[in-house]
Amino acid sequence: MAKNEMLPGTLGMLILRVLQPGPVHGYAIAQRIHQLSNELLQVEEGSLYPALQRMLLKGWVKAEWGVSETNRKVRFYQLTALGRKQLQSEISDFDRVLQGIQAVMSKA
Amino acid sequence: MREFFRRIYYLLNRRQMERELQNDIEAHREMMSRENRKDFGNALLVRERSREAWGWSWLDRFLQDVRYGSRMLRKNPGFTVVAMAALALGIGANTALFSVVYSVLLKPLPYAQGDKLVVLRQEFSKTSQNTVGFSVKEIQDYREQTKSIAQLEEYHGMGFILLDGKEPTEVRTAVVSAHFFELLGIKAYLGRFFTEADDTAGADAVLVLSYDYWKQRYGGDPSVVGRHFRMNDKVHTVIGVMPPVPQYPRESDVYMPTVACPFRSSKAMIADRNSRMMRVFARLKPEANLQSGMMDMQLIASRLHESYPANYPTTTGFTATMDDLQTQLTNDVRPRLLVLLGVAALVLLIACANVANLALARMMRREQELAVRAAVGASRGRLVRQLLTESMMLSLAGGALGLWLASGCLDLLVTFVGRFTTRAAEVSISTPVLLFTVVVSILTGLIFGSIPAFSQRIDLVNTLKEAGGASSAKSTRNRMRNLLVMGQVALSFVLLIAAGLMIRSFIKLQQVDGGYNGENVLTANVPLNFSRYNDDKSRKTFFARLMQKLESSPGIQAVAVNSGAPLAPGMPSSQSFTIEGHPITEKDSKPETNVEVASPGAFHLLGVPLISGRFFTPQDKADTPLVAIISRELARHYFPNESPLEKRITPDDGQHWFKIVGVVGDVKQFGLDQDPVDTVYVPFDVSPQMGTILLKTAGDPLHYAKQLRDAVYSVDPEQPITDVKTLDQLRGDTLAATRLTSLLLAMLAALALVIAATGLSGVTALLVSQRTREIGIRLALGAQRGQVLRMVLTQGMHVIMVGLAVGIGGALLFSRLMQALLFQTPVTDPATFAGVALVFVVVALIASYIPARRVIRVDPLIALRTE
Repeated sequence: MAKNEMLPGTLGMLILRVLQPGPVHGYAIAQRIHQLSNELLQVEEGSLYPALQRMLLKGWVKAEWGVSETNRKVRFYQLTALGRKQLQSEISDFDRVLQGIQAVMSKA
Repeated sequence: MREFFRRIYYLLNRRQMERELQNDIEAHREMMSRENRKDFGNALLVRERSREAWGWSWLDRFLQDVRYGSRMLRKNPGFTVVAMAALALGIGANTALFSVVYSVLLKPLPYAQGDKLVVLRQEFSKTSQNTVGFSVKEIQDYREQTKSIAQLEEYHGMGFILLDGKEPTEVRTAVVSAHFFELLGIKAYLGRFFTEADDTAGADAVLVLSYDYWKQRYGGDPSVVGRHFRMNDKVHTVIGVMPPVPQYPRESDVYMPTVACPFRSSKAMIADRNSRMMRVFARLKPEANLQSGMMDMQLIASRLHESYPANYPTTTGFTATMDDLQTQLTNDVRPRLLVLLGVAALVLLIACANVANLALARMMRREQELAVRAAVGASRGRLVRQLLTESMMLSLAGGALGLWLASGCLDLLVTFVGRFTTRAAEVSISTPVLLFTVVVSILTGLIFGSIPAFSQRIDLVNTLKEAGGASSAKSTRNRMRNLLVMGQVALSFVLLIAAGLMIRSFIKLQQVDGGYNGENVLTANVPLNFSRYNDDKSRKTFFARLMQKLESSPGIQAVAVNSGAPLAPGMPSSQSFTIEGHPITEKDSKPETNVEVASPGAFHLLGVPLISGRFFTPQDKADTPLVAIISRELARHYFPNESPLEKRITPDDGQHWFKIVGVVGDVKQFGLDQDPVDTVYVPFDVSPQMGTILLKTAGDPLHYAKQLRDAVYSVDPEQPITDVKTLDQLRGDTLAATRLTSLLLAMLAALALVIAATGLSGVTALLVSQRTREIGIRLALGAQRGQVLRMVLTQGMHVIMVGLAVGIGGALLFSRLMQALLFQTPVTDPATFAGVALVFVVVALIASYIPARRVIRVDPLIALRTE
């Protein structure tokens, strides 16, 4: 696995988690993930924007116009109540899988 | 659910959504470049993949396919036009025929719960009279005893003379019981229908007009309701008008209740169980079906047989049953329609094969294009979808054109069907027919589209390298093309056989000798007003005066009055009789015969030959010893070893004896396709009931129609005259059904032949163009052009011969289905098969010769250089 690639299926959870504190625009989402992962993870536009579109359709996030720190009109993504619930269930799913993996790795 | 609506919202606001997405991505890039980070992504791809999340890309791709497809079709106008024309003809023929089949055979009757309506039938199955009517007594019995029938109504047809101040006319009158219209579940268009009170003895006479008659005769004037008309001697009041629904069992002009008919309401008729004149219609109870209804009828019939053994002797095989009305209405037309629809389906199959063939040929030229598209990433599924979209566009366009063609030729079909069923008026292109056309178009597109689409197995490297040389894919495709042409040949051969058999049958029917000479003979019915002319004496006087008038008219060479004219519509009568000295055992039923009435000059006028004895003379009267003339067929049946002359026969067990004075040739009175009927002729003076006038004229008989009318009016100005026609016209009318069926079949078969011929031309053309190089080499090495031409033609004929062999097999199978439509023509008629095969080979030769001629013009130098 190349160093800046991600575990498949986890991108959605990461995006939702990054949005939890408050509205963030697209570029900032990618940046935040990059920074918070100690620059281990890199989110490509090619996967970020399709994922955001899917979440918009599912109703997990909504988008509102705002002005970026660079003074540009851009859309800010924001968690909805449905999105918060989704985040909780994804985190607990992920925890369970992780525990399982760890258990196998430590005993085998 | 929410998500679904959001998707729809995205679709409807696609432009805005795309702008927002694009803005997001642009902002992303700007911020990246601010931080001096390199951007490797493909912005377009990002956008495309994001859009895919919306779930509408299939629509985009479909529209893209449509745009691309229409561009391709426009770029090849030749292919597009030929393919669309073939499809339009095929789909059009099917649409037109299906609209008839649907309206006549499939659609429920336009009466309330038409599926519960039935026709009752009584049969004396062991006599020649298979189906008989019902007597008043019997109607009462069935009404009282039935367990399966909710409502039962009677009907009989009459001709009354209607006097409304205009020219006297005979109107086709339906005499029905009070609730007849309620049985059909129809409401009066104007006024009201009959009530119980109208159908009670002594009630005022009332009339209901049919919709068509009201429109024709009274121009749809609503004030006709309430007017008084004289019918024969009674004054009738019009109380209502029927809505425009198909009438059964025949079209009638006016309807009247049973009490208004002097015959039906006579004491003798009501009392006599054997006076079976009426037809009976009924509505089944909701819980009953045809099966239980039939059982019910049989039960009642056997009960009648037990109660009245004298009326229903065991020897007659009396029984009763029922048919559903819809089947009964369409019995005559069903086999014809199904044959035509089958034929139309074959034409469409041929068109399909033809277009598939054209498309295959085009695929060869498009191989490069497809290979390039595959090389830049189009999947096989995507290419197949693209090709299918194209063929679907073609077939839908063909279908639309076909619909237009169908609506154009619908009138022809309606006239055709109108000869067999009163439902013809209902034929139209309705929603189910449109649906049928759309489904057929889509299926057609799928069928002819998938052959080329799936036969393309793209061998990328080779195709791109080769730039148009021979490849193995091509030879499979050639095989496929040959197969398609073979199929077309076989199918169109089957169709040609069907048409050929029908035409041959028509010719045979046309050549049938009717046993009379109809040249320059005018006929007309003079249905005497039975109220005014109510005894033999007054009837004889009327006709004597009329004949006197006519005989003295210039140009009229002979006049006769008979009971009917040869080949006029009608059925033979059936009179039982006994021959003197031929005792009948109890077991056998009495001999039966058709009876015709003829005036002395009739046989001579009609050119009916005298076999032995003499014709009638003016001295053969009702009050002289009774005489009769018999037909040759009757003489053959009952006097096989003796001369019938001077023998005596009696119709009424010896009350009246008729001496046979002559034997005449057989006349095909009731249909050219029928065997001659046993017939006894009696002098008009003995039985002056019905009057059909026959005139032998000096020139065109129709020129004498006015003279005939005037003569009738001068004898009695209130006496109508109907069915003024020449004998040749009557003969033509009986041929019309066969003629029209032949015509329709021939048209469809010609269509198939043309389509198949273009297919053949195409194959040969391709063969020549593919082998130009080889031909060039042959020519360069000294081959004669004639030799090369023969070689190309032989190869084409190979395909045709195999197709023909398959076609002959198919025709032998298929032609059996049309046995019912043929007259004296075996379904395997060798002459038809040979003739059709010859026509086919000639057409095929011409079709392949035209493109093959190009061989002659091949210049070896140029041919060798082309690559």
